[in-house]
Amino acid sequence: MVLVLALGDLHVPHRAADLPAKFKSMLVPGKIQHIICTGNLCIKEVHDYLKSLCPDLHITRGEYDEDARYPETKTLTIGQFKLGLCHGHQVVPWGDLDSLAMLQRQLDVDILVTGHTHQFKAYKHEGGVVINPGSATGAYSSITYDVNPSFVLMDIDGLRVVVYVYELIDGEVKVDKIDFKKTATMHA
Amino acid sequence: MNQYVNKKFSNQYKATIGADFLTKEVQFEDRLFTLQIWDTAGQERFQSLGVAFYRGADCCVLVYDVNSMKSFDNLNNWREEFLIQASPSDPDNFPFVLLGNKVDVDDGNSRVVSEKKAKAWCASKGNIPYFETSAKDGTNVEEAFQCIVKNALKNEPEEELYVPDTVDVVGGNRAQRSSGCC
Amino acid sequence: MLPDGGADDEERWLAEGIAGVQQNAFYMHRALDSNNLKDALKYSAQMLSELRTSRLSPHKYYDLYMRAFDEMRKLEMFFREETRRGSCSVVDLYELVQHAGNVLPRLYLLCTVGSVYIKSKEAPAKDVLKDLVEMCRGIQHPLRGLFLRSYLSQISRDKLPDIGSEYEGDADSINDAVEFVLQNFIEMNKLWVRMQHQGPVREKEKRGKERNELRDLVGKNLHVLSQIEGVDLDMYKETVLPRILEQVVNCKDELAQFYLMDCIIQVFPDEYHLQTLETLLSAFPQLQPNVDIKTVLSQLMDRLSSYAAASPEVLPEFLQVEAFAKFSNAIGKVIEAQVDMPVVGAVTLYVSLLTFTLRVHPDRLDYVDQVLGACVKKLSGNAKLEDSRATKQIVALLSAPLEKYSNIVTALELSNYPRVMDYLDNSTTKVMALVIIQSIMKNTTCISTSDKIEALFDLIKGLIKDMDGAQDDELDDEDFKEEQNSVARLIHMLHNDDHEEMLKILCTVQKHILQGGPKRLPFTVPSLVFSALKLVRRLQGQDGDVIGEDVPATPKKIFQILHQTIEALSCVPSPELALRLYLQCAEDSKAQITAIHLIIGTLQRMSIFGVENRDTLTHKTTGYSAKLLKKPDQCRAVYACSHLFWTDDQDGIMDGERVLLCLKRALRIANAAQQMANVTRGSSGSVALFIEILNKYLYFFEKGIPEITNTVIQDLIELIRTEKQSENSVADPSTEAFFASTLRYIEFQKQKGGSIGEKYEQIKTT
Repeated sequence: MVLVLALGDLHVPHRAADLPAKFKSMLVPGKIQHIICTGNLCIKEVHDYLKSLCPDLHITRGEYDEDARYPETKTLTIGQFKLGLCHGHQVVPWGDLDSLAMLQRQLDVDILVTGHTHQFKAYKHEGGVVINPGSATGAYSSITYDVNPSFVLMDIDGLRVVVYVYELIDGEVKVDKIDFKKTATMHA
Repeated sequence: MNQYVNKKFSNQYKATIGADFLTKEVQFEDRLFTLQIWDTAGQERFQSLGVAFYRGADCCVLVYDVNSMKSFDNLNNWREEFLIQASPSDPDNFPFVLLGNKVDVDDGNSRVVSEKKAKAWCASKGNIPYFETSAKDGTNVEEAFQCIVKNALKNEPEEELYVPDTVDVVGGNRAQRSSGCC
Repeated sequence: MLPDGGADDEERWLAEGIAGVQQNAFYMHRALDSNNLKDALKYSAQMLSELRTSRLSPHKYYDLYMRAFDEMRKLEMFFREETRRGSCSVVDLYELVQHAGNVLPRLYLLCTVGSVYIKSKEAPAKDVLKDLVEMCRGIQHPLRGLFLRSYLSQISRDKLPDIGSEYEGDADSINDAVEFVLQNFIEMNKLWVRMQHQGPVREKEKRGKERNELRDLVGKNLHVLSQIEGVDLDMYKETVLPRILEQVVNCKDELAQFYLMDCIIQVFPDEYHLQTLETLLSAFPQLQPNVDIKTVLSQLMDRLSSYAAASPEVLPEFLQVEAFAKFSNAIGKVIEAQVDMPVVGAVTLYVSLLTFTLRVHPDRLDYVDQVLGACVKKLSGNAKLEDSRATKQIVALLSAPLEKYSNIVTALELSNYPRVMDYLDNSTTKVMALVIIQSIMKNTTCISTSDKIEALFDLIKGLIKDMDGAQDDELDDEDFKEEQNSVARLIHMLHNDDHEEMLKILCTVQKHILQGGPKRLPFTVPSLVFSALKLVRRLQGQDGDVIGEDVPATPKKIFQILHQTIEALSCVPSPELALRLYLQCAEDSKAQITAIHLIIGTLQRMSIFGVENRDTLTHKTTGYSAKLLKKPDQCRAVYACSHLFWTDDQDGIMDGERVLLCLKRALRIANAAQQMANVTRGSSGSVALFIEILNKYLYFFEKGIPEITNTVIQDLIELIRTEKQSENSVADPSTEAFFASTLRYIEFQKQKGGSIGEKYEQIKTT
């Protein structure tokens, strides 16, 4: 069993002061094996904070990230799953599932994680999964109104992945879960 | 120390100045001994004359507070300082006894140093005897001092004997002395 | 008092002394073994004569004394045996030892027999002790006298007529015990003080050092007093403390006063101090002007505040004795009395008093302000502080309330808080400002009124604008970034759900951050902009309520603020400006691509422009896209532009012709890229670009654009196959996978059946 934290679009300090305290108290060092972050952290302090939660940190570049060294896309393999990561401002129309599907084919991944819209989304699509963890700080967005802070935890176990979504609604953390099983007929 | 000698205990914090000195007569294997107990000041600023009273000690009792990791961590320093200052002839086999005190506090809930940890430390220093005590209610105090007396008597006299030219040495009934940092 | 002599000489004298002790001790042992009392007395007296030396320093003398002390325990045991056996009465012994020729050995012997005398209970302990303490006056040499009296104190330690002791006499016996120790203490202190005034002036420093070594012999008496069980609060209050303080004050000796006050505080219990606070504090202003009172007084306050923190049940007592007022008063008097006390000393006292009040009276904010006010009073007249130790103390003073209340809003109520800050130098002002911001962040404190925010900005002004005479050039770039980022984060903590108040807050923030100058604005403006945009959205969310012109908070007003703010930004180098510059001349292709994608993405979502305006914008964007530095980037930007001509929403644009134009243009660029790759052999090909374009074709094919037919797609698939085979380099696995998954997708769509499946029916994937 492997725990993967997926989050992005924090926009600190431009649009938010910090992660919500409720999230911070849930995210404790030593529990998470990998962090994947779609981007827009935006400053080093946030990078350092994530690193303190888990040293295995994968980041792609959002349009507001200071650090230009983050790549545009990234793929990694965790257990039986291949994961793709991209901020998503490059994929027009923004948040469009069919366009994201093309990126999923291009990166040839089972799970594609993107951000930019600040709206949590998770679809099973063409035998894979497309996830947008939303904005971890609930940052202002011109695309999405009424942004609730959210992040995603993926519990990867063999051919099965359970996606937990944590959303902060009116000061309360709501958890939702989506189960996904990779079938043997999927590509190699 | 006060619990052992006078069966008294005070919860109030009162700093020790210089070395506190008490005596107690003890019966051990049918013989009467006078135990001299020296309690050193815990704060360095109240130890202005140094620790000349360490010299000639027959046993050294180290005491820490089971509710304070710092007091446990300091044991190494106290032990080494004693060995340097007292300079016994055989430092590796000099008798020490360790007391983990204040086991009564908060029914043991505030305890931070486990018995296992303390015993491991004792094992690493050549199997120092270990007792868990409460100076407040007297738990194990008598037992601990019995052990201290036994170990002190086992120890050979430390003092170099003065031998004048013409006379044979006849051993006397020595007073036993122990010191500690309680 | 010591003749000049090197350390070697002293070692030799000590060795001689030890040899003398050992030799005589040997003969004494022999006498003891043969029950020869006369010889035992003779040799023990000779042994004790070694302690008559004047040549040893206190440390060395102590060594010698300890050796004699050990031997005397054997003699004491012998005396006890003798009296027990009845071969010699203790009274006779007491007489007998007084025949020793020299006074010092005689008194040591007398004390030793005295100890046995008390144990025998043949005379009341108090009479024996009284006799001994008087007799010891015979030694007036300070060093020898101090050790002799220390011997008396040691051997009598467990024989005092205390309550419950076996030597307890009549009702007054506690008084006798206390009287005995007090008298010994007073005599010892006199000897100790006198030492300072004996001998040549040039050895003054050495004497000070030696006296310092001897101090515990004197202080020990206070420890003994604290251990006497009969010394209850009443006796402490009525007799013990006044007598000790009388001696301390009257001896007029700096060293003794500092040390003994410290001893009193450390050896007696907290509750005694609390109940005698007035008496104890009244002694402080009477001490010599150079006594380091702040250390001692701070220790007293620290002790009592720890006491209050550890035992909350005693808090009413603190109130009852008005501890705060007494301390505050005493500190005032001490500062008044010691005119030469450096600022750091006074501030240290205030830090202790503040710590005390925060622990003991956490609800009394007025006390906190009072302490800060007293501190301001002490600082007034001075310019900014330059003493780094004093500065450190001020930071401690200002940090303490933040830590205690973990809410800056409380500190903002303290009127003297900013006044204390005014005395800090520029860099410390900044440090303090960061401490304040960190406290807000850590406790997620929301500051919700413009008044409070005004006060807050006053406290953190060091970070907000250039200070007079500040030399910011020295500041590290990284540090500056961090500072300004924390200000940017802070702006999000300034919030009110009430729109009107929120608007005021925005105005206040704007007013302050616009003073920041070109270096700070790029960091702080975005936060203000987004904070303002959030309010706009909230106003929009409440439909209809905002129509009236008399409503104070309207989106229009906020946009006015935004306009002013962004206008301020436009005259300094800023990201917004940089964006425009990038598009025209930036050489960083990566930044260009990001910008182009943002523009395409934004335009794609915009429906507000008229057809004509939109055309201009899309045309320009497509144009820019084709001018990007690298072919693959051009290609991707151009096919992304295709989305500008086909939107799904109502009244959306559906211009299939121009979609196809974009895609064809993208193909041409991909072709050119492929040719370039063929020229530069070995470099990775652009087959991936073709596959990306194929995916775009499929996208619009599904949208039903009539211009895109299955033949067009079939041709493109064949083209990719050809290109793949002709590519010079070895097939790139990621390209292979991309192509395979695209073909798999086509098969997947076919199997879906229905209209989609029908559309795809004709396309062959193998």
